[in-house]
Amino acid sequence: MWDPVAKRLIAHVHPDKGTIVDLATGPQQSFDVAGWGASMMYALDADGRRLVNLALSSKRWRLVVYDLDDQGVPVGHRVVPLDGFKNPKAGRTIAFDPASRRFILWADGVFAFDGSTVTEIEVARSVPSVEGRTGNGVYNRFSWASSLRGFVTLIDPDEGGVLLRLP
Amino acid sequence: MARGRSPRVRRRAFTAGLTALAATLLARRPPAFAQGRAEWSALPDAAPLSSQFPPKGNWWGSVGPRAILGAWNGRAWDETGETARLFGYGGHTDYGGNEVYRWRPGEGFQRLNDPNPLDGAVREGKGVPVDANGNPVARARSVHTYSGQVYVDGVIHRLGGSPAWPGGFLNSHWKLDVATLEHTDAGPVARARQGAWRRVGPGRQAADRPCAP
Repeated sequence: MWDPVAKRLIAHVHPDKGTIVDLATGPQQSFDVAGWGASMMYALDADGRRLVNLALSSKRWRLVVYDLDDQGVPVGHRVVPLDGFKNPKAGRTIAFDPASRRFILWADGVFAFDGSTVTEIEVARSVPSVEGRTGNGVYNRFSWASSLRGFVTLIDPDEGGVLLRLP
Repeated sequence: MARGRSPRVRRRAFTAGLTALAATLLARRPPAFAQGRAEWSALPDAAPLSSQFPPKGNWWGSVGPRAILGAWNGRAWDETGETARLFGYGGHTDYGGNEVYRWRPGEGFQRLNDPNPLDGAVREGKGVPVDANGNPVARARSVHTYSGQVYVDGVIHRLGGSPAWPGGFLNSHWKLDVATLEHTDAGPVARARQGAWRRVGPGRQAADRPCAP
């Protein structure tokens, strides 16, 4: 992902290996993470001070929360277990919501993470492609669109985009 | 066997069972609902992705271009222009096309170029992009991108991914100029020096420095 504060890329480019890439000087530092393909869901807050990884490891879902200092260097982390996310059928991704300043998890439901607590958001109306979605996750194919005041995603090759509006 | 136990022991066992069941149910999902309700809706896009698929070629793979959204793929999102771009999606055995698509709300998808032919069929264990004469060209392979595509200032950066073919994992950094659709190999990224980031895994988190909630 792009870190707009520290002006750098953060990427998970190898099983169990993430790399921070500085566009000017190349790779800067690496970090070890749990799992690989299924764990490569990340979101960074608007201040560039908190990076959250939605991770699957040992068949268990969890959030790995990294706090970053003002230089973008991680100063600690903690793990938030997601015991209800063992087999999410839909979405399986995370993004930052600039409107509410929370992280939004889409994984067999919609959830908000404020940095300490995960709270489910009730969904009043859905669409077939969201309900029928199974499998491999949408990764960063779930993004905030200011003009639409919601998150847009692309799911079904035979349909157009899908919008999620939060309360 | 419960039949031989005293009533007190059976009551305790029953209470313990109820407690365990309640704990399991409570742990299943976050218990509280946020105030208000969310809504999903379909956008009235003009062109779905399937209307833009290229003709069939040796890049097709076991799934074809439906894997662009069905496999382990993200997208590059231009927040300012509210435009998504898909650069060389597919990957592994699913699909070997390295073409580029653009998506905008209301417009839907547009394929911006054609996939490169490959040195052989993906199903036959091939996957190197070639020119019309069969010579390898410096173009990115199709990969499962996971979350590894990022749009920054007119350039899509594609980091890592599982290529078609043979799968596994690339330690690569490709750039795509969205104006010219030129590919640039920016070199490997996996040999970075170890920094302050720490492994997170079972039994390890307690030894690391915690951060504030």
